[in-house]
Amino acid sequence: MNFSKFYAEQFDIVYITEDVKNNRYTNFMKKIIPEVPKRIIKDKSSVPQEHLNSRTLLVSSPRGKTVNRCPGSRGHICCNYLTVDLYVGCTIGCSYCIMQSYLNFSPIIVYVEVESVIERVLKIARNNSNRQIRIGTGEVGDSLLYDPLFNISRDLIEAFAEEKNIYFELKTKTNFIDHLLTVERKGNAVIGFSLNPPVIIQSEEGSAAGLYERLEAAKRASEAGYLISFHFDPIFYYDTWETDYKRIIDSIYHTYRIPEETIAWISMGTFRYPPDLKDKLPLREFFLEEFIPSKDKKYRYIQKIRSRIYRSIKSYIKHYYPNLPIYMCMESDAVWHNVFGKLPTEIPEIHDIFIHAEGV
Amino acid sequence: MEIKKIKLTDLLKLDSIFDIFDYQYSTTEIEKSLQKNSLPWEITGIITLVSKDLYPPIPVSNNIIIWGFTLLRLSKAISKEYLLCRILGEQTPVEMITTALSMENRAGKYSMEEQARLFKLMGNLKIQLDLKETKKITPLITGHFDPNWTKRIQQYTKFSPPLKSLVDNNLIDYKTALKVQDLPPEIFTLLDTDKLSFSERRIVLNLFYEIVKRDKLESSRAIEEFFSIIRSKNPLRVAKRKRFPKLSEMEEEYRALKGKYLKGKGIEIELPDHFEGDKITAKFSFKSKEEFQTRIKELENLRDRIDEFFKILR
Repeated sequence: MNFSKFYAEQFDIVYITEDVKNNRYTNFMKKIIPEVPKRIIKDKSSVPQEHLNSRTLLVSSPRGKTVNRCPGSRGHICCNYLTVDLYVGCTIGCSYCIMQSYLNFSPIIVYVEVESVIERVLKIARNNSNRQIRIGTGEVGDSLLYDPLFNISRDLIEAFAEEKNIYFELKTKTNFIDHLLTVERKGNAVIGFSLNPPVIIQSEEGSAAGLYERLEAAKRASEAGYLISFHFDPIFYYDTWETDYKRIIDSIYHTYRIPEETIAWISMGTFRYPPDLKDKLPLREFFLEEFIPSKDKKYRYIQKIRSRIYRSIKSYIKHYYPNLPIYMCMESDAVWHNVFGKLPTEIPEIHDIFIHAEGV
Repeated sequence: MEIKKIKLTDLLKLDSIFDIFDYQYSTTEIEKSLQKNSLPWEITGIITLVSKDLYPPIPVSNNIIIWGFTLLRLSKAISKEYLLCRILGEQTPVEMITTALSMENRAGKYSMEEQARLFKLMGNLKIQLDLKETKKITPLITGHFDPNWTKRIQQYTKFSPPLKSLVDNNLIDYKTALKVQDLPPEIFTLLDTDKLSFSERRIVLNLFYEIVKRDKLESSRAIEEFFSIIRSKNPLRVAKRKRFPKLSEMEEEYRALKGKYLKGKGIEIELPDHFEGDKITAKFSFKSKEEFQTRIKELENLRDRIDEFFKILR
């Protein structure tokens, strides 16, 4: 893959705030896309209105807290994931993405000042030495889509490698992992792949990598010594959902032969959406299923259907990977009981995942 | 700029391309009412003012009357000889539109049809609104800066006549109309009924649109389906049942269980809203110890059946 060409085609202009103009990640980016015009600006608000869109790249330093808890969802159980917002925004263009409803008029932002992030994460990990700290950069953007352009993740992986309780996850819908394969000290770094059947990827996941490209990347990462995670999220309910999702699990096990011990966890989450997403998008076929409003005001499939989907996918995963931690993202107590028979903190394999880290 | 008295006969010869706004009464109607001495009170008031020359002078530029067509009609009906006009110098098309809208002074109250006529006039005058002009003109039309005004009106002009009529008569909102515009026009003619409130009409149409898309109904099948909804006793309920068959089935199942196990037992079983949750509520009341005992016995009988209710949630 020619990343110089790829990124040069993505961006019309790069704005760099004064404070990071000599940052090494900024310099790395300049070498990859020398032909894209660059302007130094005082701060983020200086980006002119006509460039407030995803064809603009803004390189800056973060303001406020660099490490946050996953915002969670009222009335739903959150896995207490910690997030680092390094890459904000995404040009993959998934039709169901919540960012479609609120990040339309923003440039792609990359926060390159990572020393403070490293310091903060290490502090949290040391203050919670008896707990698993799961932290990732894929909450408000794809962790790896712009990483070959800045090469930030490599340093984060190495910085966290010595801490036994940090599970640093890079969640992606790309297969841009090759620049990370040569990292020597990987620790518990996890490369996470969001998975969906090819029919969904083709119709709803914009320019994301195909399913088999992602699985091949997972295989390469696993062979290079990374932990892998898979996220069946969002799961769609349609005529052939059951066969299609099962086929993915078959592929992971039979075709790509990813061993159980290299998979850190698998998560599941059925499609859900905030009410304004439906208003902002042209009517997509997936909106035509039956949804009910949940406690967090998002719309979800009927509880009985969600439970059925989770039970089916979980049992199929367990068929191949009996000891793997599997959990659900943003689900209610009722669905946890329907699917697992208990709450996550009562399930030994995932108990650690759901324990709160202190001092975040 | 000067104010001039111009003979009505001369004024009526001038260009009237700006005659685009709705008016309540035509000249003929006013003439007829005058003969019968039955003019509406608001017209009587204006006629008095017009006859005393107490009205804003009619703006005229380049032999084009920019505003004041209601005054012209009234004057014609009462055979007034002349009207006061303000003769403006050379005006750009945007200036003329701005003058017309400012004098009309009905921001936020123009019907979609009037806005469509205004848009057409702008096209005839070769006006293409840039950002600066949009900021100047749209507040005079909609009451606020509306960068999407042009796009919206263009979309409205593509609506089928029955859909336009629903929007113009405030029977459905523009947003709903935009969403459902590709439904067969026959469907919109069936909606012109008092059977539904504004809000019910909007919901039924939105639900029906999603049914058509989900089931990929062809035009004739869609019309048939809509006919069966709208002619039913309760169109809203029928539309909901067709749009949400699984939820409806669960509701049916719940109703059937209640009928089977709770009828006449004095006990109510409530499942959580939208069948979302895992708690079932049992309710009962009693007036005596004996009645209390009966309820307890009924609850005990229900114990073996309660899983059937839980099944709906799992």
